[in-house]
Amino acid sequence: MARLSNPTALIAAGLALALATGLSAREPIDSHNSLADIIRGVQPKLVKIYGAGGLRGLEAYQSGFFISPEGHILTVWSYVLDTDVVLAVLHDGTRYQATLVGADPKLEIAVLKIDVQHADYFDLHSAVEPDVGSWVLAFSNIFGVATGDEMPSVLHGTVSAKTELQARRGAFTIPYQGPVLVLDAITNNPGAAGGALTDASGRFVGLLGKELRNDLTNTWINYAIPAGELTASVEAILAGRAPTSRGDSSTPRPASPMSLEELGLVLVPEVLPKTPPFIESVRPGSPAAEAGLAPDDLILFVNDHLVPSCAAVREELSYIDRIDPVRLTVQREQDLIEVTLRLP
Amino acid sequence: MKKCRAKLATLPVWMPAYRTRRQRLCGQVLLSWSNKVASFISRAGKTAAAACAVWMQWALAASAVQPSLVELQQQAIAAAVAHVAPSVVRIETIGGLERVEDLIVPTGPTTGLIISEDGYIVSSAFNFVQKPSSILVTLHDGARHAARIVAHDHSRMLVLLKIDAEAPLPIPEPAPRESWKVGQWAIAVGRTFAGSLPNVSVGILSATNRVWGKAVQTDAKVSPSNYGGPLVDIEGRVIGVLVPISPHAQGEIAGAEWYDSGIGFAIPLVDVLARLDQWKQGRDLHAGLLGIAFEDKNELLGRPVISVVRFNSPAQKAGLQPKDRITHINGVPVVRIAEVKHQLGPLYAGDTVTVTVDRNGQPVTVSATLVDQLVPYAHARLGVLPRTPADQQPGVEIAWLLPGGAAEKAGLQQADRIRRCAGQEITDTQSLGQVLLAHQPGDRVTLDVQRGRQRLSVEVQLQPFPEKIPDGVPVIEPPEGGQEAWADVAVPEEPNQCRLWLPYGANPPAPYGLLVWLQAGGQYDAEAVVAAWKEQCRSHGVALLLPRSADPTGWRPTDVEYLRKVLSHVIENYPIDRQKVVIGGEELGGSIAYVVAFGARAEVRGLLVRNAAAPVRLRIPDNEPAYPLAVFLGVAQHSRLRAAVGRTAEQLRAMRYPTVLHLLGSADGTFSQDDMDLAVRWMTLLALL
Repeated sequence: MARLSNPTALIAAGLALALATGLSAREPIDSHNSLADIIRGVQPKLVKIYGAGGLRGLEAYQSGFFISPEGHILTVWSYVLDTDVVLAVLHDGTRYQATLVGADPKLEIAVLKIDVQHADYFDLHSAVEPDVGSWVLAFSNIFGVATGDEMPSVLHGTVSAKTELQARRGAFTIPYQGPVLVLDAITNNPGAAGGALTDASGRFVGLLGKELRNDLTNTWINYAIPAGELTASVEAILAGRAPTSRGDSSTPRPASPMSLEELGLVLVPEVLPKTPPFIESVRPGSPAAEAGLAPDDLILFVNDHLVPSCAAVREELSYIDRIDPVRLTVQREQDLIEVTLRLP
Repeated sequence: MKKCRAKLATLPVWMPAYRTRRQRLCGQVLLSWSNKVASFISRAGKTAAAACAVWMQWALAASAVQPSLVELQQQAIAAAVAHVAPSVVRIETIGGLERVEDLIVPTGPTTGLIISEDGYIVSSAFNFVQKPSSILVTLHDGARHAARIVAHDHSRMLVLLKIDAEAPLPIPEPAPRESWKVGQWAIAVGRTFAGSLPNVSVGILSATNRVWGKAVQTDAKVSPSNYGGPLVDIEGRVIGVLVPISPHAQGEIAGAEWYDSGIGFAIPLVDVLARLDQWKQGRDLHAGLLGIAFEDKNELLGRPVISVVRFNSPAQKAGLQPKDRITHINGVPVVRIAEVKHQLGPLYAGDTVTVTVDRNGQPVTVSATLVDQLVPYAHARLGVLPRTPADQQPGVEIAWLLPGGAAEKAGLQQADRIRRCAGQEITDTQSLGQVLLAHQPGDRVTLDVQRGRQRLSVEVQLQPFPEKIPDGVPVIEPPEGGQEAWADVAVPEEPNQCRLWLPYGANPPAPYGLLVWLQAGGQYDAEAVVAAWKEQCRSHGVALLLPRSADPTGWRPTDVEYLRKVLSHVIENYPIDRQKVVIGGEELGGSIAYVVAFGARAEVRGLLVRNAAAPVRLRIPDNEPAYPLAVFLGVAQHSRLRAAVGRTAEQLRAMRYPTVLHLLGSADGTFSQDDMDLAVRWMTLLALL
């Protein structure tokens, strides 16, 4: 325990330094590593973007950041850019009219260009990928509080989860479906979209996403699209090609899908929108009967997708080709039973 | 210090061995650091952010040589999450409601925490608000089990689940209460996103002893994505189970509007484990109620002086009295009402509490066993009308039996004379009323009845006062020569005008029932009211008292005091049957009638209202044994007031006031002759024993 007194002394020293730093703010103790300097180093890379909007709760501003010394700005594709005049205001207050280089409607990102040389920028190729629980810094013009030569706002938080937005099941109503970093910093607010997420050392991590509701929890979700998902699309935009983003994976439905009737299953009548998918009857001699399914079994999963209603079972089967096997997990009393069915 | 860092540097973050002493060691070091920083922050107030930044600045400065403090912290947080992760399960539900109140029920996965090796799992009640038909639990290794709900905790908003697992399940380590320090790291863990890792949010412990001593508070982001999951300390020990909960409201979804706000709550795991054996029996846990109310409505400032002791409540059984000032609860001194709530808040129904009060300067200590529900008093009735006027013989002669009433079911007949009830001698209606006061509907009592020359012993199961008015309620044959009479009633020092109408003059054969009728705002026409009610009042012996508002444009709250005075005056000075005093009114007059009826319980036995709901600010008091009050609410079927009056009826019935809700047929919501006939029949029933 004696060793524990050391940190106390060190903290005291740190606090003394804090006071010293406070007194002479322009002379940081370590010009390469202090958090204040890290933030100060990042902030000039951010751009305040103004465009269309300003009506009925639609804010006319968002955030962006330089991705090249020649003035390429990465931001989100939104109604704000849907105008002839998009203004980019830099950290020092200089204003530029931006031109749209291109956009990727799947990722909902856009690249703008302003006429500058030697901009401070994030190199997308040297981005890092943080772990769950890592500290991150979120830079953006959240709520539009920064104007003119004011620096963007910084929030700190941790990476809550690394997950995928799965729009196909109706959980997230945006075109982008792919990996995201979920944050516990509340970035889900007007103006934050298009901002930059960095790690605690100021290294680029990802692009702050638009305001988005998670239909699974009915809560607003704070998220960023990781750099790895952005680079290919950005390169394509810069090269003038049609972007081919990885997030473009809306599952196609097969021409002749699986059906309950062919499997030999009849579900209970749908009296409610969320009627649980209990089996009403099983046709003798059908694949379902051969697999041992029985009336009153509750279908829980179709190929590992939770199916909370009769409608969800039909929806899920419509994605399965009738020539493929289908795996069902059913609940019978307190037992979970897994069966694989195949059409003859 | 160096040694500790070296160890950390060589350890992989997710290594299970981290759960052992090494992780502890690292945790303790960081904990002590973070506490010091946090306590500095709390002292420094406004400079907190600056201090934090500089602290991180210092930490980062060291990174060139050794792992920085930030890196160490991230490793410690990762280790803490890894420590608890095997006990954190994903919960999915099938079926149930789509919407509860204003909340669209989330359909996504939620979180639970294993708390015993044999498969008990605790979660937030929020996650089951939709009452699902099936519950699935996915363990950290992906194994799925069907789960059933064992019991609820309606006080702390938790649910206990059970799965049947073959092997012993990993259980978390609870963080002892003594270890909690405001400002320490607090990590919220859930298992709701796709993927194998739990989701985390990092914050600090913001407060302990919140929500009346039931919860701790954190600024880690708490939402449906981690409700039911653990809040852990930097060592991975569980401080509590994350729930939405509110100090001001009750129910599964109360507090959910504060999600991700920096104000999150967790129920201490040590408290959950303390009750686990009891909970495993499948009995729901409820907040323990004592049954008292305080005079002062300001709970932070007010002294805990008891104003109401609820009938039948633990407080009444323990002998607490109005005017008692609570000084200690379970030996802990309390000065303000909020302190009383803090002491009582964590207790469950079935717990015993000792309460010390100051009664006239003397300390009195009592012990009470808390209950989950306070059952209001309801008046019990035999279902008979006594003969009036009574003769001089002992006992109560039955003049009429309520069809389907308790006495009729037991085979009693008209003209039977009740001589004894529940072992007590009955001399008159008053003594029978007193005996009935001591009983509740549903009780069985034995009556000794005289029928002619026979003496019978009959068992009767008592019923509540009827809420349906039967046909055949006896009417009165108007006495010969009894001429109607009018009187002007004046009360000293009150400007109000008031007229009294007596259907057969000042000397009726039996005392009159009295209906005080308050006309709608700004109207006053005594003759018109009498003309409308005349026939019904004559056949049931009801006098009409018609006061006018002091301000001719309408009733004001200031009229309430006058109405009490004029009512007392008439009861004292005219032949009035005190069992049949009714205050009534229409529209705004009806609103005033509610206030008078609940303010003058000693005088008023009935409340008769047309087209008025209870005033919003009126707190409906407890039903009192000594002062029965029955209510008749008439409202037009298609009136916009229909719903509000219905709610009033529900409130009154919940407090066990017998309430007739009568839908008026007429389009404008006025009383027809049939409606008035029903109302006076109801008045006659007020004398029911």
